[in-house]
Amino acid sequence: MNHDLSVVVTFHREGILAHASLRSYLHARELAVRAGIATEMVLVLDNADAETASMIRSHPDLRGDEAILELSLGDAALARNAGIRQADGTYVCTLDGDDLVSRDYFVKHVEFARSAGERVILHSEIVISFGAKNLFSWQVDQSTMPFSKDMLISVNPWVSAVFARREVFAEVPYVACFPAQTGFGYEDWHWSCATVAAGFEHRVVPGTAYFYRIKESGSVNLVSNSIGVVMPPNDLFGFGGLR
Amino acid sequence: MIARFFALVRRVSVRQLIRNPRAELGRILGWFSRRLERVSTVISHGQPEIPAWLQEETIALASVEPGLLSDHGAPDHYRHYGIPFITKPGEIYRQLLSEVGEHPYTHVMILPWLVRGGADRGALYHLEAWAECMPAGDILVLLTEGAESAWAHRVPEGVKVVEFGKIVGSMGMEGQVQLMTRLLVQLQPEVVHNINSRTAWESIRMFGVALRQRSRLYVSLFCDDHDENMVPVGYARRYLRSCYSNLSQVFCDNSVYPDRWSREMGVPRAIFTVMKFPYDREVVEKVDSFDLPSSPRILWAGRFDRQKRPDVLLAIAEAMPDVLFDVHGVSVLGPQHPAMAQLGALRNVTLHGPFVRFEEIVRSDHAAYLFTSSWEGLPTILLDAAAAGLPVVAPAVGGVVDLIERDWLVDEPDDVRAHVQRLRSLISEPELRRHRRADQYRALSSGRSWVDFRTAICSIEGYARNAGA
Repeated sequence: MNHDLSVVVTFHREGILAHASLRSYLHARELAVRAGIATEMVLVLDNADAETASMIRSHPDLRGDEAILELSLGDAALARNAGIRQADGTYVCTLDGDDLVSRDYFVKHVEFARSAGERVILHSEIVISFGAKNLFSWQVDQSTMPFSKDMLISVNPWVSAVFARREVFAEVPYVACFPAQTGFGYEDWHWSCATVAAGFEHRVVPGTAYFYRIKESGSVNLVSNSIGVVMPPNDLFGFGGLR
Repeated sequence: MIARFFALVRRVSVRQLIRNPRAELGRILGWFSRRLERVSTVISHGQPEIPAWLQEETIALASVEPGLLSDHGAPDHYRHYGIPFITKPGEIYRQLLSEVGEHPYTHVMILPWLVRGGADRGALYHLEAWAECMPAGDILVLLTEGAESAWAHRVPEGVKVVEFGKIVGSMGMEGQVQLMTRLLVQLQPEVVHNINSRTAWESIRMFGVALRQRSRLYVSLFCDDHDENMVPVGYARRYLRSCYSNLSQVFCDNSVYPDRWSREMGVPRAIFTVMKFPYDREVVEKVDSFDLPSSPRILWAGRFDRQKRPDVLLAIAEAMPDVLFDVHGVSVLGPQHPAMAQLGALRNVTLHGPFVRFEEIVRSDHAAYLFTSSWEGLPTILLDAAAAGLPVVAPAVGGVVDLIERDWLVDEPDDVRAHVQRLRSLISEPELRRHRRADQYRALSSGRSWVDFRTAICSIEGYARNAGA
């Protein structure tokens, strides 16, 4: 059966925090199913520790039809690509293993996507960052808010959770970085740039929120910041990219 | 506005302004432009209040994630963060790309500028060697300071020169490093060679692991500088320890400093390659008897700064009132060295202005070239003096020992008596003059031809494409 929506969640070493995240995602899945949206869950455990794996496998809200991939890729981009390859939905929604979403996140994204063009990438309207810092920000909608490609060399206006037609991810796959080994990083920022360079338009879905956990330590972003990584080569910053 | 004025005043170091006005003014202007940049380009997206629907949603999700609410159970602790609408770096980067041009450069050399100087001369040698090994169009030179480059025209024909510093000059160092790094990451050249560019050093320090994934990174270092307490400072001291693991090789024009840096900082000696610069001018060996008139003269030429020790020159000239000194040189920016006024007042000293070519200031009645200095790499002016057949009297500092026998050199830069003794010997002993001249010719002909240099360049694995072709 082909699904309307594939939700790809990547887990690493979230431990007990993965429980709340999966609870949030599975509840949003329930609402989507009730709205008639055939939804599959692809749960990717990339080098997950035992506690995280246990939290996922024994989660009380699992229905039993979720795909669980246990991999040893060691890279956020490759883990996401692997999950997307497993997916069969018309749309793919990527999420991280320690965050949460507003309850009708999937419903509203699918509804918005059905009325939007094919070359769009959707994001939640608002990101609530909680934990080590407590912030909220409105994500950038290319068509309705101030936007310039020139922004992207300095800032990634979007979080890593994205929603798009599945073929978008085949056209622009995530690029492996292995930050500690290569000094390259920010695979999500790279993907934002690469998709803009490929002509996709990033939009936001009104009335949706992504709850982004900011850890005190141990997150990929914190490690990347501390070792000083830089985005890999990107079409957007090559000749013609910013034109 | 008043607060900003006082903020600016607080940032001005009067001491630095007097000591090095160019650097301090540059720093102040950089700070000011960054402030302007921030004010003019940061525009927040969206409204600064959490909408009611999201407050309800946050409360609803708190049963799943208690961390979403504040200590008193409300979503009232979130501060608005506006995604900055910063476009200037991107705009400048686009301009940079259009200047660089759409060519797959394989070799990138990064310099602060190209002006008259030893490091600049060395950079040109490397560029000429590259241009002999590969199409000149594959070579890109980035000049990272905004200053004029009087020697830019000496770059081999076909090599692309981009004035990076002039394009990105309105940005602070952090922004310049960001764009330098992005450019190098995008270009993915086989080789990046940094000679004295602080921007490139910072880029390697911060992002060296990433840069070395696609490019071999080389740097050239020459010697330490010294601060007022004679503590060694400079790029080697500042960057080598944090950068060496990402560098393929460190070139040095003398054999002394690689040993010193390895011994004093722990940087592996194997990462250094001594790269003797060639002497690129014709040497016509003088075979005359080197007779002098009854009133011989001594030549001194260099910069009037504390490294070149005008105070030692003054003491020597005072100790030899019967000998005339021709002093050629240029003053550096900042306050004049205190010895200069006294030097100008001495009856046996003639102060000349700057010079273009060393051989043009050498006279047949010069008995010696006096080189005073506290620290050095291998100053190319000594090669000029040797080529001109003028015996050198110098202290045994830095790489000077690579050119002149250690026994002849003065042990300590401050030892006025030893300098005077050697100058007196040269004036009075024709045989010694001829002997010194011959020794210097020999040193100049040993490993300092263009072929020697090119062979050395080609022997560095991966440095020059088509090596040996």
